[in-house]
Amino acid sequence: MTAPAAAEGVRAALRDTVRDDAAARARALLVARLAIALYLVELLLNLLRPHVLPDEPTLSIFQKAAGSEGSVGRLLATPQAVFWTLLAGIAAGAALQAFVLVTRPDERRARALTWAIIGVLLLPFGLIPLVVVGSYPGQALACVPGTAFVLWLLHHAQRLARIPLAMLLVAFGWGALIVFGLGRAYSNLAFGTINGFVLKGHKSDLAGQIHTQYRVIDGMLVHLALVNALLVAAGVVLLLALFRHRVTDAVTGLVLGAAIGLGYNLVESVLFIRLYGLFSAFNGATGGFEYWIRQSIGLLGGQVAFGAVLGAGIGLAAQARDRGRRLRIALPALAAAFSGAVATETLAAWLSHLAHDHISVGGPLDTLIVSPFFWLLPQAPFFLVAVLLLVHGTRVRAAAARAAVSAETSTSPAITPQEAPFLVDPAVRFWTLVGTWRLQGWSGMRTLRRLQTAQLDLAAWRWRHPDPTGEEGNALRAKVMRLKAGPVPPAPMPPPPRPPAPPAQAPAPPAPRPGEAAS
Amino acid sequence: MTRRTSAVRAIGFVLGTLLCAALVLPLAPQSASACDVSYEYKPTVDLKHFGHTRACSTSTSLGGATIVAVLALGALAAGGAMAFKRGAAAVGASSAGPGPAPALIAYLRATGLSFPARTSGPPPGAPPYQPPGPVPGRPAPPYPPHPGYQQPPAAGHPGPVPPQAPPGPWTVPPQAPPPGTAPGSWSPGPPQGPSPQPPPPPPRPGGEGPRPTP
Repeated sequence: MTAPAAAEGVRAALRDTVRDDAAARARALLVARLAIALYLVELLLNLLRPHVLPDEPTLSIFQKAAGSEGSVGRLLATPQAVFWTLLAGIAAGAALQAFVLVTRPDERRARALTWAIIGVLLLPFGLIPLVVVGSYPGQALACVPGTAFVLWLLHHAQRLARIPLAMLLVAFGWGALIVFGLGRAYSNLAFGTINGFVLKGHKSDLAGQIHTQYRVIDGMLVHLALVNALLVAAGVVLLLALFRHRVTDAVTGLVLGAAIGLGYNLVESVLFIRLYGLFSAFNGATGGFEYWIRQSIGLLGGQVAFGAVLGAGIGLAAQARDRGRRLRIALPALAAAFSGAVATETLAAWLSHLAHDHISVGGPLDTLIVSPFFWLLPQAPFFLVAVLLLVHGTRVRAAAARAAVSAETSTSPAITPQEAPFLVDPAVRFWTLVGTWRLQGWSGMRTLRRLQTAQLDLAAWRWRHPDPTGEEGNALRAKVMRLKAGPVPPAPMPPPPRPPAPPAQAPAPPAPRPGEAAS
Repeated sequence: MTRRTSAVRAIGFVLGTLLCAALVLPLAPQSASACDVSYEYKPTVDLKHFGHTRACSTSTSLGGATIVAVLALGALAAGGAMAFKRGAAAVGASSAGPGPAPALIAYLRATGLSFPARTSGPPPGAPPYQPPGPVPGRPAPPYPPHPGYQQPPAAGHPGPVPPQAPPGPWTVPPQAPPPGTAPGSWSPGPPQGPSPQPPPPPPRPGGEGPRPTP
């Protein structure tokens, strides 16, 4: 396949997956504008903060940290880069919007310009996670296997009506780039603001100053938890609006929220693995210990569990028709995610502090049992709620699959009554795939899997459309029948063109006999 | 082995591993504490313990990560094996014995799939068995074209004959067969008059939208 053909294939796949209508673009633009507005509010508060030191810069993000070189220096300088890049992005976005208003371009150009505006507004925040991952590529690579495994689990845990893989990957990217980047950009400003207001006029000894700094960190953590929860919620809402998918329910939202949390967790883990190991003399942690906590035993906790609970709440809220009821479902989910993040940081640290007072740190028991136990204990209720929501949601989907497949068997030959029992039970489906692999190898298994996926897609459509007529349903049935019929054999080579027949000639006169005159 | 017995054995294995680990770890009397994990773990300036702090070492941590990885992959493999056996039991197939299960052959026939010719040999351990597949070059039609078809009962599964399906307006876009080739296993039904179309359903809230026709 040539490069242009591959690019056209990707564009076609995107057109099939992404809903690029005016309503979806308007929602995406609204999210981008709200993100910028919140950043400007943080900037304004930072500008108005009391100055603690005599030579403090106007914005606290321009404060130079003494002795910061190398990768740490690069990290500390990134918020400034985000600030300048974002200013340029806001200017470019405003210019593009003015251009659209003045010139009133056609639909195709307006669509491209809208996505360009969203890109210049949001992508500058992706600088922070990109610098983190780019500065510590080894640590980032070490986190890939566990992260990929959880993504695979999320993709296969949905049973019927899976969201497109592109949707899952974009959710992961939203968490890694936008949630982490925006959260850190806001919190860097908030740290300076809170520091200014808390330390204003505060004069005390060294211990008092350290205690006050801890209060500043507490305030910043509450701010970070709130911002993260809001950004995860915005990501789930935006993805549900932008991507075409069959079903919006608790499982859909749970998977999206968990994927967003997983992306966030990847970048944060890289940061902790690299930086916390530098302070072993004070905190007892090492890079390997942070990897063990965040990318091994705690991989399914933390932001993954909180994001799953929040996403499930938004998915349930999307099913409600009443706006008030939607808020009554979504707001508690948001509060749960926010409070879970705050509780994990606070309670785990408090329990660790209680243990610290009596005894020293280190040892296999501390590393493998005690430390993970303190960290995971506050997260356990949220993880359990997420698992219960997933189990309940998949059971509902399994029942819907049975009903939809049964209904479809009486409508078309796309799903026959003989195939139905093999299709509705995941264990039986798995058995058929393994058996087909034994008989026909990988290609045979893939062929059967493609057919089963298309049939389940049809069943998912039928679940949401009890009336079997419909253009989309017919198209899905035709796709199943095409897969059953197999590939069309190539046309035989046409016979070579026959040479033209020579023109007819009159027979030559017989040669005269010897002695006869020619007549 | 029943499913319950397998689950009990798996749980017993995990608990036994944990118990052994809990017994082996505190070989020497040692105090329990916790290494700092995150932002709120604020270090205390304590001169009594300063310089005597041991770190939660990387080697121990990576050993724990390895154990968790092995347990996770083992759980995945065990889950897959249990799902396979459950699937075989559901269709009444025996997982032992040579040759593919008749239920699998009947299912593959019901799908009407024509598998490509294998270029390599069977996977390791697979019995050399060639199911009666379709005639090469012409996929075998498992049932007459729509509409109003009657499904022949598959081998071993005398399922109920489906009711007469009403003629649907859906068809595969007609494709002119290449010259010289036999017709495929399914072809559009005979031309019919336009059937009355029901009004399109109202748009659903929640962002669900139709996918374009593939």
